[in-house]
This record gives sequence, C-alpha cells and structure tokens, in this order.
Amino acid sequence: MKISRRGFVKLVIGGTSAAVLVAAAWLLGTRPGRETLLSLTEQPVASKSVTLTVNGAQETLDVKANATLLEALREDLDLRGAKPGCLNGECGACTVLLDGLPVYSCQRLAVELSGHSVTTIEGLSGGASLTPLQQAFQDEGAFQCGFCTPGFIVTATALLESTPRPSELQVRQALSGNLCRCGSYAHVVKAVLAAAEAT
Amino acid sequence: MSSSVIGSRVPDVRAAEKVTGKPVYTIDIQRPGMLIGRVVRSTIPRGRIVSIDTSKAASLPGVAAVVTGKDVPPIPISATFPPSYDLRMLAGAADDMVRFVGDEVAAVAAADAETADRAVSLVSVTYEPLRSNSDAATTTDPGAPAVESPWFPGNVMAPYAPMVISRGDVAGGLAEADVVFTGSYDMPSQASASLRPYSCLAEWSGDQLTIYNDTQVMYTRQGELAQLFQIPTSNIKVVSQPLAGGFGEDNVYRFIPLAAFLARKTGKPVKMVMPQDFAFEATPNKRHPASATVSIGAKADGTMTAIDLTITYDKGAYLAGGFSVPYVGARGVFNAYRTPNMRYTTYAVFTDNPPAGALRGYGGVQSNFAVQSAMDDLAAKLSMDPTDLHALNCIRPDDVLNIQGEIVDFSQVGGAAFRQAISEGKAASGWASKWAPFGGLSGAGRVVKGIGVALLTYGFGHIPDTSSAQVAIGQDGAVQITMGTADLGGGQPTTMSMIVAQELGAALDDVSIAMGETDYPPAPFQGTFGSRTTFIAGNGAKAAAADARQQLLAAAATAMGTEPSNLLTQGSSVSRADNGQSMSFADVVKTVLGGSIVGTGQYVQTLYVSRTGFQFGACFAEVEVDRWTGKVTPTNLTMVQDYGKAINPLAVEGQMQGAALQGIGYGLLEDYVVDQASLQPLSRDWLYYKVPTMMDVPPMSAIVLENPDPRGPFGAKGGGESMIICTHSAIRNAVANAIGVRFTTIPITPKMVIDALKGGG
Repeated sequence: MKISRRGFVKLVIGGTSAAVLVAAAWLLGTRPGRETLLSLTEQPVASKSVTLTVNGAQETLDVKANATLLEALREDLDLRGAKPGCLNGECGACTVLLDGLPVYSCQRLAVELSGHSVTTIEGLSGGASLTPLQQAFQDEGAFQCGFCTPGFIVTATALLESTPRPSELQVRQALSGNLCRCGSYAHVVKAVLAAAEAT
Repeated sequence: MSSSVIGSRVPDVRAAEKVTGKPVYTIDIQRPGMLIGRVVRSTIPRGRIVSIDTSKAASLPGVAAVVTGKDVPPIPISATFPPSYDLRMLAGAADDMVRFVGDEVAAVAAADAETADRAVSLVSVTYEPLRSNSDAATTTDPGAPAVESPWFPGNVMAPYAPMVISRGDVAGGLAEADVVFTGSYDMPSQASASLRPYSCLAEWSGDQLTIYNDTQVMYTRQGELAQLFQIPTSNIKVVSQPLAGGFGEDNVYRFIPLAAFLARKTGKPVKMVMPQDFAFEATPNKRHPASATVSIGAKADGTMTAIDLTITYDKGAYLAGGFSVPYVGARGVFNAYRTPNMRYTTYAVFTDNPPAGALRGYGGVQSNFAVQSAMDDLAAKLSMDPTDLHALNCIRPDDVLNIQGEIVDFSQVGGAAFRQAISEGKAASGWASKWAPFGGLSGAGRVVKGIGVALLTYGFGHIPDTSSAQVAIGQDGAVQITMGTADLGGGQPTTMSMIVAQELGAALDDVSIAMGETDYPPAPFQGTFGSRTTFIAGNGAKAAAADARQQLLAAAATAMGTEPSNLLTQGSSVSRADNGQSMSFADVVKTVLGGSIVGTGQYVQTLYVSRTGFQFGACFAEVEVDRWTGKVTPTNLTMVQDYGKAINPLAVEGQMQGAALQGIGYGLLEDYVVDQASLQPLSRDWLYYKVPTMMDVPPMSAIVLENPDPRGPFGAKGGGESMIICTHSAIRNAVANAIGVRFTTIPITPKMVIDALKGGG
C-alpha cells in the first residue's frame, strides 16, 4: 500500500487535519495505505457545481470536491475513452486536452476546472470521420490492445497542433509520458510522422 | 489458392474503435445498482490470522457485505490437489495461514469505491507472524518454514523435485570434451506491468452466473467457478472483454470467485477492482525468479559434446497456475542444439515471495538467458565468433532428434531455421564489420560499442487441446465467425478473419467475428496463451470455413449446372472455372438455398511435444556503454524469426517489436525488488518499476522467415511470444562484447556496470 499522488490530492481536499496526520505519518517513516488515509477523512466529502466545456458542449456537473477530472469524465459524463491506468500520473492512459494542452486527467480535480475546456478522444473528430492522425494510427497499426491508444492520440494531437512538422525526436519526446506495454512505439512514431506529412 | 488475403498488411479489424476510444474493457463495464468490491490483503509475509474484526467495516453506511475466510465456501473435498487449494477464495477457508504480502484475507462490497476503500481500512486483522523464507536456495533445507505443506512437503513442488529430462550420455559427453565451460546465472522476476486495472464484474440471475473479466482462459475460469459454487459449467457464462495487454495468465485470480460470492450474498452485481499495486504485488502474472548452472563441453573446433542445465524456479507462496513453467524451461536446450548428449534438471520450490505464474515466454525466458549467456561465454573461451559456435551446433532443418522424450523430425514441422536466421541476421546487422572479440578497454573512449547475439529457442502450443469455430453466411452474403477466442490485443480477431476470408474466398470486408464468450465454440478450449492462437484456433476457424465453403459450393453447383470441383470462390463470389459464370455469396444463400449456411469445424491437437510447434530465430543487439555513467543504451536490434507464413505481416512485426521491447526492459530496466527483511515488494508502480518508454526504443528491423509448417493454417507457426525469449540475452552478450564484463544477472543497471568496471573490468 502506498500514498498515491491521487490519494494525496484527495486527502488534502478532505481536510487539513488529515493532511497533517499524513505528513506526520511520513515523518515517522510509516506508509499508511490509501485506505487508511481515506478513513481519516470521516466527514462526507462536499459536492460542488462546476460548469465546463467538454468536447464543445457546455456541461454543468455536481462533483465531489475530491473527484478527479478522469472520474468526472468517466462516471458523470460516461466518456470512457480516457483510461484509468496507473491513476498516479505515470502512464498517460488518461490523457485529455485541457484548454488545448495534454494533461493527465487523473491528476486534476474536477472542481478546479470551472470555465475551462476539455477535449477527450471522443471529441477529437467532432463526430465525423477519423482525424488524419486517427487514420494514420489505424493504417500503421500503431497499437495492439488499444488501452493506451486514446492517451497517445490525444497527446500527439496536441503535438501536431503546436508543431505541425515534428522531427522524430520531437515525436518521441512528446510521447514519452505515455506508456505502451504492448510496445507499439515504433509504429506510433511512424503514424504521427505520417499524419504530419498528410496534413 | 486464390489471390491472397493471407500475407497482406491488414490493419486491425477493430482499429476504428481503438482509435476513437470505443472498445469496452472490463474496467468500463457498468451495471445499474452494482456494488464495488475490494480485497483486504495480508501485510505480513507469513503468519497465522489470530482474529479479524469486521464490525466497524460492516457498520459503515453503504457497506453491503464484509466476508472473511470463515464465510466463503470450503474447498471442494473432491479437489484437494493444489490447483484447487489455490482456489480458496480467502485465507481462513482452508487454514488460517497467510503466505505472502498481499495474500487475500477479507473482502468487502459497498455502494461506491470510496466507501469500499474506507471499509477495507476498517477491517482489523491480528496476525501472529511466523518466520518466513524468501531464499529459493535454502527453502528446501531441513527446518525451513513450510510454505505449502501438506501438499508439497519440503517446499518442493512435485514433479519438479527435480524433474530430469535427458538424451544421450551427458557425463560421457563432458568427458570427451576438450573444453568444459561452467557458469551460473540468476534470472530475476519480471512484472507484467500491463496497464490494465485487474477487474471483473459478477452477476447472478437465479442460479446462472455471468462473469465479465479480461481473461485469456475463459473455460478454465468457468471450470474453477463451477467447482467452487458446485454448479454445472453450463450455468456459468464467462465473457472475456478485450484485454488491455494480455501477457500471460493461466493463473488463479481469487478476486474473480470472490466477486461471484459477494454478488450472490448481496443479490447485486459486484464489480471487483484491484488497486494499481496489485499488478506488481499480488498478481501471479509475473515471471518466476530462477537460478541456473550450465555446463557445456566442446571440442576445440566448437563442436558441442554435451550440455547440462540445472535450473531452480521460485514459485513464491502459491502454485498460482504456471504448473508447466519449469517443464517448458527445457526448451532452452532441447529446442536449440543438436548435441547428442543433453540433460535438463529442474526444481520448483516454494518461498514466501509473491507468487509467480505465467508471463509471456514463461520458463523459456529464464533458461534462454542461462544457455545463451553460457554459449557466448564458451565462444569467448574458445576464441570463436559466437555466431559460428551457434551455427555449428544448432538444430538443422532436416534433423531428427529426441526432443524432451519424443522423436521429432524437423523436416515435418517446418524445419529449424536457425542457420538461416543467423546468416540473414548477420547480413542485416552488419555483423562481419561490427563484431570483433573484446580486446580490452585501454585506449577506449567514454562510450564503447558492442554487438551480441542470442538464439530464440522456444515452442508454441504447450498442451493437448481442441479448437472449434462456426462460420455462417447470411442471406446478404455477410460472413460471421463465432468462436470462443480471447482478444489479447495482438490482432487475434484480424488474424481469424483473414484465415476465414482466405479459406472461404470471401472479401475481408464482408467478414466479422464474435469472440470472447464461453457460450461460443471453445477456441482453443485451454485458452489463448503460449503463442497458440494462430495455429490452434486458426486451424479450427479454417476447418469451419472449409465446411461453409463446401455447403456453399454444393448449392451453387446445382444452381449453375456444374460440379463443385468446377467452382472457385473469391471476393465473396462463386465462379465457374470453365466459363467464368459467377454468383455472389448472397445470391447463392438467398436465392438458391433460401436459408443460411452454417459451417462448423474443429481442430484437435493431441500429442504433447511433436504436435506442438517451434519458435526459431535469433536476435542481434547492438549497444553503447557509457563508462562514466554506466548506462547501457541499445542502439539497434535485428530480429529474425520463422513464422512459417506470416498471416498478417503488420501484426507479426508488432509482436516482434513489442516482445523485444519487453526484453529490453527485462535486460536493462525492470528491477522487481522485494525488500529482503520485510518481504514487502518495493516495485509497486510504474514509477518504481521502469518499463521502456518511447525514448528507450532503438531502431529495430524485423526479418520474417517463412518456412511453412505443414500442419499450420496456410503454413503458419505460432509466434506471439517471439523476441521476449532472447532479447535480454542478446543485450547481455552485447555488453560483454563492449566492456568485457560477462554479467550473470539482469537487469544490467548503471550501478552494476560502474561497479564491474571499477573492479578492473
């Protein structure tokens, strides 16, 4: 058991006293489990209304103060393309665009995001056919199981937005925060470069 | 054969879903009113449960159930053999022992995840800690703590106590050698580190149970659940959602029957979600640590006179599936060399380490490292080019050899293409200009280069099995395959669709596939693992397509006034060979038959070894070693493998690259650390267990050889495990070539390099 970053973020919202306890636990060298931490927040977590734009539509959500953006997208809006991988800011499977920039949605609290704009894998093509990048992923076989693929495509979309003609190294660097255990990296690089070429 | 679907680079038939985030993995499944289940796990490596207080957890609002080992069904008496002992859902069901950090102790079901987590934290367990043992080398000593007693006395797992498989006279062979090299090697564990959250959803309707789970072994799961709940398998439906990275699983997952138990107890669907560290800590989906000693005798010209491999696999605290892992390790010698004298001695022992089970390339990854390192070390001792040593001794395409007790005529199974792999790999990698014997480091710069080779020595198929499929042609000409194959993510639906399209003469676009449910024809029954899907399931699908085609031709022949033998099928049309007159599939089915066509087929794989196939190939790795930082950087990989016939070269390339990347991880990055004092696993997430990222990928070239296996669909051989068997060994040998240090374990970390070079290397 360990304190995940997400667990920590949730805790701080849960109450200052809990945060102090956690800090004390760390100082004492013990590593309380996430379950232990949650039990410290005995107060019911308050909910708050937030209004944000998701895939072009304005959404008003009643979210718990400790709900991550990933949870709000998946559970409140039923947008399940962003994936819960590590839930710890390590794997990139939950990547979405926040005001056009790629973020790990497991690392952002939904309550922070009133007035912001979020784009998920479901919103990239605007409901029409595939984007050139999605098409290139398909043609190059740039995935195997597909679990990490939404994260890769979202991150690469942001890259091509800011850098329409990236070098191979730029592609690798931009996508180095997205893990693929099936090991499709070589085909991903080809796909991103092909999409850059095609547009 | 008509124009070929087989051999074209076909994008994944599920690609459009995958690039839009639409596939439904287990973690995405929801049911109205479902509860969330969690497991309370042991915090100590070995001890007795003195008491469990669940009262606080049970009284928490929103908690529907808290169960301990006293509540769950006992293990069926008829099934006290260890595999079902492993099935006990919770400690306390069979005895009061916990056996590793992470062992299941209690389970909760609650209205939401947060409440379930709180309930877990409120379950108070008192343990009496007992002396534990994590050392595979001493666990069999008299007086060592007994891990699995009474099933495996002495912490040794029969039949590996030891199991000896041999041919010829090893002692005699070693005696007639000019040189005998002996080396010892340690192969650590490796985590699956799959990104998928381990999860399942169970729901009952009366006495009918449905389980949704991303599993490779649906029918095994069905059998386990039937045994535990004492209901017929026909009452149980297991649905395998697409796997988010399936790298091995014939393991026991106790959270699955626990979900079913909690669902029955609460009368609600229960979704069990394991926390992320489960993927590293408690899942048996990880590699057995192993240690080996290899002795190789050779004549002065390099001709091997004998090879003797002794290897001990650490199973950890439970059998956890993976029963055949030590047996499969024999492939490291038997599936490699033609030497008349050969012996494989293997032990499997229990410790209080987290259990190991099935991970891609199981058994063979460890023995490959020992043997391919030892061969490289022997080549250095003989002052030979290692590729010459391999080429001299490897199995040849027309050899007839005793392979693990069965006589195998390699000309009947698609040959043994080692020599071809070596020569093509040497040419493509530029071996001739890059390889030179290590000549010392004096005068060398900060960064030194090396190149190394290792043979891919493995098999596929593993065990006797059957595979069935149904291929239906509808009135609109649509072709529907139905087969109980799991979708591991390696392109299985595409491969099956291509095989059926080819055999039937249908346009690939007209073919769709339903798979992943136990209600479908089992394909293969034992599961989707061991690089067996293309071969075993593919043969079943091909037989079903052939049956459908025969029915189609019979109907078309009547309508077209000819014999079936005068008809061809291609692009979803039937045409007469003599005059070109043609009808679409739709017309034949709708107009001529008025009904539909349903073809069925089965493939039976009977014998153990000789009816199983072989994965042959080689990996050539180039590295740069930074002598200042100790960092080893792979700079190029040349991968060669015989696929018999690459059904879909795009998918084959993906398998080779992905497997090699996992091999790079195992060789250089993936350090699975268990604290030896507390036996707490320290590598619990992707931050502390480094898997390769996009920055770690060297240029890789995949060379696919095609020496058809006459038994495979269109000549195909299995090949999904591929380069994970040998990439780590090739990298180790490349490092030896670069800096002269012959490491005996992996991953080769910067610290190991620095320490070795300081020591005068």
